[in-house]
Amino acid sequence: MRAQATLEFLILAALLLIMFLALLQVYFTRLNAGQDFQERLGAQRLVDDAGRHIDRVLQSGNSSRIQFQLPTLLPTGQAYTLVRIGRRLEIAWESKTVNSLLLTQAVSGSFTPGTLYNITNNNGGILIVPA
Amino acid sequence: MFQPRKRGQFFGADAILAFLLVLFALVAAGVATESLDSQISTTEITHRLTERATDSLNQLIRTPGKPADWNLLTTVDNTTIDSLGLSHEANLLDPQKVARFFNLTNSTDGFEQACVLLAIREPGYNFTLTLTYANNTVAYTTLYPAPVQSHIAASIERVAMLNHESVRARLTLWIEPIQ
Repeated sequence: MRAQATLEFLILAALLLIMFLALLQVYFTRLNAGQDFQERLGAQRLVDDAGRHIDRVLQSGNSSRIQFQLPTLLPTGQAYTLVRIGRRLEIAWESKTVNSLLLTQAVSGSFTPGTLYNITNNNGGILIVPA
Repeated sequence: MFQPRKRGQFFGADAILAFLLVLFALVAAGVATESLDSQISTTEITHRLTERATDSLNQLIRTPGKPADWNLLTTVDNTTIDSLGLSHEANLLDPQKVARFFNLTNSTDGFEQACVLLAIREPGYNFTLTLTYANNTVAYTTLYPAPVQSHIAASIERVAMLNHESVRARLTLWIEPIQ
C-alpha cells in the first residue's frame, strides 16, 4: 500500500512539475512577445506620428507650418534613431526597425531625438528644421 | 470489529476530476488571451488603415501634387513625381488629373505605382477609390473591387467637385487575406 502511494505520488508530482514548467515556458514566451509588441507599437506610433505631421503639412498647402516634438526615448525607454529613406521614415532601436510611408519624397532635413522641430511646406517641398 | 479497507491511493476520481478542471481552466485562459491578442492586433491594424486612408484621400482631393502638372508627364512613377494630387485647389478636382489617375490605376503596373505614391505599399495593402456623382452614378473606379466582409478594411469618404458637380470620393483600404 505504502509503495503504491509513493509511486502514485511521484507520478503525480512529476506530472504537476511538467505542467508547471510548461506553463512557465508559455508565460515567459508570452511575456517576451508582449514586451516586443509593446515596443513595436510605441515605435510605430511615434514614426507614424512624425510621418503624419509631414503629410498634413503637405496637404495644408504652401507656407503652412507645424511644430513637432520628438521624445528623447521610446515610450518603453529605449534610445532610438529616426531617419528618412526615400518615401519612408524609419525608426530603429536596438536591432529592430519599423517604418511609416510618406506621401511625398520632397523632404529635406533630419531628425534627432529630444528636439523640437518646425515642419514647413515650401511650395510643396517639406523642410524640417529645429525650432 | 469491522475495519474499513485502507488504500494508499492518489489517483482517485476526485483527483482526476480536479486535474482535468485545472487543465481546462488553463486551456480556456490560454485561448482567451490568444483571442484578446488577435483582437488587439486587428484593432491596431484597422486604426492604421483608417489613418492611412484619411491621409491618402485628403492628399488626393486637397492638393495638386508635385509637380502640379504631373498629369502631362509621359511616365508617372516614384522617380518623376514627388507627390500625387487630383485638385486645382482643395476639394476642386481637376478632370484631366482624375482621368489620368484612373487611367494609370487601371493597369497592374500603374496601380502599383499609385500605391507607392499614395503611401499604401505595405505588404498586403490594397485600395479602391471610387468617385460617385450625387445621383449614384459611378464616375470612376479603380482596378480592384472593394473587399468582401472578411477582410480587414477601412473606408473614408469625402465630398469634392468634379466638372461642376459634387462627387463622393470613397477610398477603401484593405489587407488581403493570407493564403
